[in-house]
Amino acid sequence: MLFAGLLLWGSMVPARAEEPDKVLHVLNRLTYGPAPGDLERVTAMGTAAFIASQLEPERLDEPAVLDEKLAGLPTASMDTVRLFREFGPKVDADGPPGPEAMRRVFDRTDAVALEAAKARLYRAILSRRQLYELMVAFWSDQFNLGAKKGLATLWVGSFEREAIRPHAMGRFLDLLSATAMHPAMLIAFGNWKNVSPRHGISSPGEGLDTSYAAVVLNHQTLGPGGPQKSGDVKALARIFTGWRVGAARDGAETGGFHFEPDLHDPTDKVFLGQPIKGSGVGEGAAALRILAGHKVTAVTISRKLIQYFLCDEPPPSLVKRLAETFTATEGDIREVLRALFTSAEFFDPKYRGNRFKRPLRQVVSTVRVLGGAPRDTAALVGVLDGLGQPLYEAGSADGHPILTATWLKPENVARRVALAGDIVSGRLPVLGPKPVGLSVQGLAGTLGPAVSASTRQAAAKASERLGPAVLLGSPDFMRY
Amino acid sequence: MLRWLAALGAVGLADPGLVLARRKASARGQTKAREQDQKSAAAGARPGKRLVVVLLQGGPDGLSLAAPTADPLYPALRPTTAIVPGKDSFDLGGGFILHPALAPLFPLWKQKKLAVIPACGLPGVVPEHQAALASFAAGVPAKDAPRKSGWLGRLSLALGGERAQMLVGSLSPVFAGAPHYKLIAPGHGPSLPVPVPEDQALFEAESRLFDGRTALDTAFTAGHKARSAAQAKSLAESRESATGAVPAPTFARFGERFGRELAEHRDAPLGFVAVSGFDTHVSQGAGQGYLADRLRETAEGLAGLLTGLGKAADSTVVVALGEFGRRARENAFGGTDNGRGGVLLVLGGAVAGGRVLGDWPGLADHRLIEGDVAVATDWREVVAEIARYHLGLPEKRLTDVFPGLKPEQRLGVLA
Repeated sequence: MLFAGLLLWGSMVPARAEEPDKVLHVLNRLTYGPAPGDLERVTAMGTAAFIASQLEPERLDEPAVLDEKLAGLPTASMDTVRLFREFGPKVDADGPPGPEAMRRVFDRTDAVALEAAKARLYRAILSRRQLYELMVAFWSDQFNLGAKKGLATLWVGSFEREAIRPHAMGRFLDLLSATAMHPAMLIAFGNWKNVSPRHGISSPGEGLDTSYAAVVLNHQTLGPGGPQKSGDVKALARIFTGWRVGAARDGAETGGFHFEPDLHDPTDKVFLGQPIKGSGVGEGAAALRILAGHKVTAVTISRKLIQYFLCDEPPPSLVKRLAETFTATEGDIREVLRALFTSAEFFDPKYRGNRFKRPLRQVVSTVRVLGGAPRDTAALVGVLDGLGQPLYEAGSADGHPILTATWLKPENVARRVALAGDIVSGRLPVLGPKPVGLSVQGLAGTLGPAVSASTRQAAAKASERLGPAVLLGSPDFMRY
Repeated sequence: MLRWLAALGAVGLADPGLVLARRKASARGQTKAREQDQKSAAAGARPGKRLVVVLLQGGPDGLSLAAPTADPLYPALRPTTAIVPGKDSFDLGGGFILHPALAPLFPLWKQKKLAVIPACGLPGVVPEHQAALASFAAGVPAKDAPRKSGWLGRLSLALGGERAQMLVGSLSPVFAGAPHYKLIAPGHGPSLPVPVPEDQALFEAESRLFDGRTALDTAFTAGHKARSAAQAKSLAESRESATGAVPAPTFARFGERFGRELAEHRDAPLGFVAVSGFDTHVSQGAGQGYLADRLRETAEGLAGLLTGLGKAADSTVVVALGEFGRRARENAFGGTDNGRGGVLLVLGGAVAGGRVLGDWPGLADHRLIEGDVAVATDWREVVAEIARYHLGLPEKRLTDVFPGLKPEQRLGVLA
């Protein structure tokens, strides 16, 4: 027993402690930022073991307080069909169909979407599966539902739970297919009304709609400037005809997706140079397989992942290596991430501590460094609105921008300073109206080498009340 | 408008005591109304019945006065300015709590002498002080042409004809056209404090850390500068928007005196006073802070008004409202900017109180009007109901006061 323990201990503690800057870098890039004790913990287990553990989130237990917080959000565990039944249009309660009836539905969808945003923040702040949560945020931008649109707003949370979370570190093809078939995506870009018009079945005005096909090609897979021609967009749109939202008709249909053969264009198509035989819903699966397996998709996704985790200008050698991993593993996202986090480029000291945080990271890292569970995250949802990164509300198909330069704006920086003051003073009651136990020394200890000597001095020189805010509003805490 | 105020102001400011002023009605519409009035001798307020209008000048934040704490969107729209419900909160029902600083009014609610109307305002109001004050005074929707007479002036005339009296605590075009008014000048009292931006010290400390030449340093410096400039501009606007009104700290004590004067002047069925301190663009605060202090003072003044009225309070209705409300989402300075729908308070013995009245459109994005709480209840309908059923204004004279207004149904503000 003792012997076994010693063996385990021996395997867990690296021969020599790694340099604090390196530990901080790994923590910064694989999590939303250090919480109290994280630096010590990762130093003790070693960065390699930490990275390996974050790549297997399913083996990490979640803290009880996160379960408690999520249990307080009843709609945050409802599936798409149930959300529709409970919050969708209700003929008896909403009154006769018309603008007011629609407004009553949207009153409810807004409240449900807010719960989804609150849940996302609780997870980002409290989850031990930090890398996984970062990936959920990444894919939520990659498969963004765009501006508020009818029932898609009701389903922003169920879309995340049903299409993104199960595949966030799985296979890209599964992720792509799940998003394509989800009612939220079908509504968001109008694919549900993309049909081959048939008298008596389709509604007047319905016809071929290429919006979603264009989004899949230009934003979600190949990306802009890929090999796709306008004919490919049209072919993909024809392939998707008949994908509807509705009650399941057989075992193959679940979660609100419904294929209507009579509204499908049954002719043969050519997509990206490959023939696709007219065969119904299977054509879509074939087309998505072509896209997920395409070398250009591999490069596009790899590039974006490097931009998300490392730097605005990805080193070409690293892009190439990740794309090769993507292709060799048939789009296994976990393996692409492993390749990234074990690359020499990732550990290059020039990338340490020099990135400007996106607003979501600024907010979440602030709450994390304070330690403890937030009482409520609704106010933080509002703060993200003010900082220009409202959850589930990015207007474009690209989601919120990844690149640093987009966010480095005077007003945005000033708002972050104000946020530090609001949270530390308790004006923003995320930890209650009077946060206790905040000290410059404590925060500086949690952040380790992230805090420069000048910042530490300035914070220590300020009053006891102001010091922690000086630290959290400093340039050091806006970078990671 | 400023010239008009100056002309009147000279009378009021010269003597802190009673001033009796008389103005000749000049507007054509009024002359006609006056002729009608002389024909129908029946017009005239019911003896002893009173209406006192308190203009909360600057546009108080309705979402703080009656905080919709049951709406899940409320704390998201108001990260630092939401009223946080607690076990001591004063629950109004319907998902609202009354701001804790309005504690002097809590007993009135319990006695059913206070009703609250959220999302109340003037349809089509422009969220800009000068224009909104002008349309408040005119009592016509903002899109209509401005008028020379004010609605309280027209109401006074319609109620009492040439002999009509009213008492005012401050000067305003709202009673332009009134045959007579008495100014009860509040005299010298505490002036309006200037809100101090809460994070000034923090920004000063940070400016010593963002002192390099990186893009981040440059962005901070520009952001800090723009922020200070915007705050200074907002504070100047707040100062200006308070012109002519009694500062809330002064009203806290003046209310009772004004009530006593009203009780003594039985011939004056109307009263008016404007109170300032509600244009909270910067550091509004929440349960405590700048707005809370102004609300406490206002509530003391309003409660004092009823105390001063004494027994006469039983036959008095007090209406307190702003020229507009504020935006649903707070701004970047811990404040709120000018908006549309606000809160209207109705107080007094003649009020069917203890209730939240009117529709509440809610805070969902699609319910807001350009980001503002919508106007669900037209304040003129509230006043019209009081004028008609409390003061006894004949129904056909209502359009003299509010041209074109056709109330569809009674809100039920009166007991």
